[in-house]
Amino acid sequence: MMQNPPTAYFDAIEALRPRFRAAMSEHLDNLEDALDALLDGSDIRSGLQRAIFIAHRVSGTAATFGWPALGEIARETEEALAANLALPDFGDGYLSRIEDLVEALDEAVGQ
Amino acid sequence: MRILAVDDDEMILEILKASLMASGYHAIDTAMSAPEAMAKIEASSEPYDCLLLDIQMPGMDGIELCAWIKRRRGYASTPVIMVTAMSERSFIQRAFAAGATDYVTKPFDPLELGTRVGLAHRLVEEGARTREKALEARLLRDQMEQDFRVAWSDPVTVFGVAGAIGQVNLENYLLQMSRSGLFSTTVLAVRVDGLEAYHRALTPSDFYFLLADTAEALSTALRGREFFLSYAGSGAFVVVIHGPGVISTEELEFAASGALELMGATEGFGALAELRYRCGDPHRIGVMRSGTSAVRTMHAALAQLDRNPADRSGVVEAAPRAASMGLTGLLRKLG
Repeated sequence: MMQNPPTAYFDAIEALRPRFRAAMSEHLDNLEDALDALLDGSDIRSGLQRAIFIAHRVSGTAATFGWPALGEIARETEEALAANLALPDFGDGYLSRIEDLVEALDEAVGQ
Repeated sequence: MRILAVDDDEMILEILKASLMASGYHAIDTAMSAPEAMAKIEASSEPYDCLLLDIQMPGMDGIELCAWIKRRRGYASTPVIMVTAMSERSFIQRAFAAGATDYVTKPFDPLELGTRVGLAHRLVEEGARTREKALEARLLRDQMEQDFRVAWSDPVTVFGVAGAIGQVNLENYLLQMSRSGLFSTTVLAVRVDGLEAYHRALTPSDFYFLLADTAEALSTALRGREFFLSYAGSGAFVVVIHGPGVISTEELEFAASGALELMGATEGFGALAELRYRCGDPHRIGVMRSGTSAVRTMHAALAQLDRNPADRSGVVEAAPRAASMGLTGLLRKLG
């Protein structure tokens, strides 16, 4: 029997959920690495770029898997870090932004 | 409908596929980078019907990819939906400038995505229908052109012009006329000089419309008289005029040429040749002539038009109507 479109879609999303968790876990590891590099202060530009990339990935999928707040934090983090990257001295506040995202990601992965 | 979805995030591609399949679209191809998408597009024997492109991708981004796709043969009207995590106006504007037809933002609502792709689908179908109709119209036009195509020497029936009838109809008319009816009838052949250049250069339908204009101008010049005219081919008309009165061929040439010029009949066809009317000798059919001889006179008038265009009387006096003689008078003359 043919399923109606929303049911078929949500079934497909449920089937993808383990892959989503694995991807978020990988993003969390990479983001913590980026944060360590930024705390080290050796290559801020590269660290910011890595963090922006991860935030972009998380913002694109989190809401689809039932994590709208995580998606929103990721989107705000991506935008804020992109603004930092555009500044000559990278400004400040980016560490706390990344820490917020790490915390939200940690919560999602731990669920 | 074949869809190509391009995103560097495999998870997004999976979500896109799930969403599209739930909306009934199953022919979905994916690529994880612009170069991979370009390779798939180039390798595809048929163009994709719809493309979903992520904007932010490493290397060539989705907007550059969109511009590349739109330049490709067969993709000018293909719907391209941009998939973006950002709704910043500058990105969207750039995407539309590159040829994108729509955009959706991540995270996307599966129903919204289905709706957008459905709109794109309808666009594709309407485009196909339009192309089909255009093809039908072109075939019909070609068929019409074939139907209109006539040899230079062939007669053509001109419709919608006062007094204009087909050549066969004119011959039948003359054949059916009684001897008394042919009395005071004049047959005149009129050449339109310069017309052959247009026959060679124009499409058959354009030539027909020009021919109709030349017939119209001749008809205008003959206004007030009882007449029939017919295009006999090779640029010549045959005019059969009934009734008494004087016909000046010079006046007829002048009036018809003037009417044609007023119409601007050759405007838009380039100055291929000046069209001028040239009358042959008028042939008056007397009371003693039969319909058959009237037809012979008509052909003789046409033949003479080529043989001796300069040697003509220029004026013919039409004899009084047979009715004025009466049947008794006619029988007396015959007897």
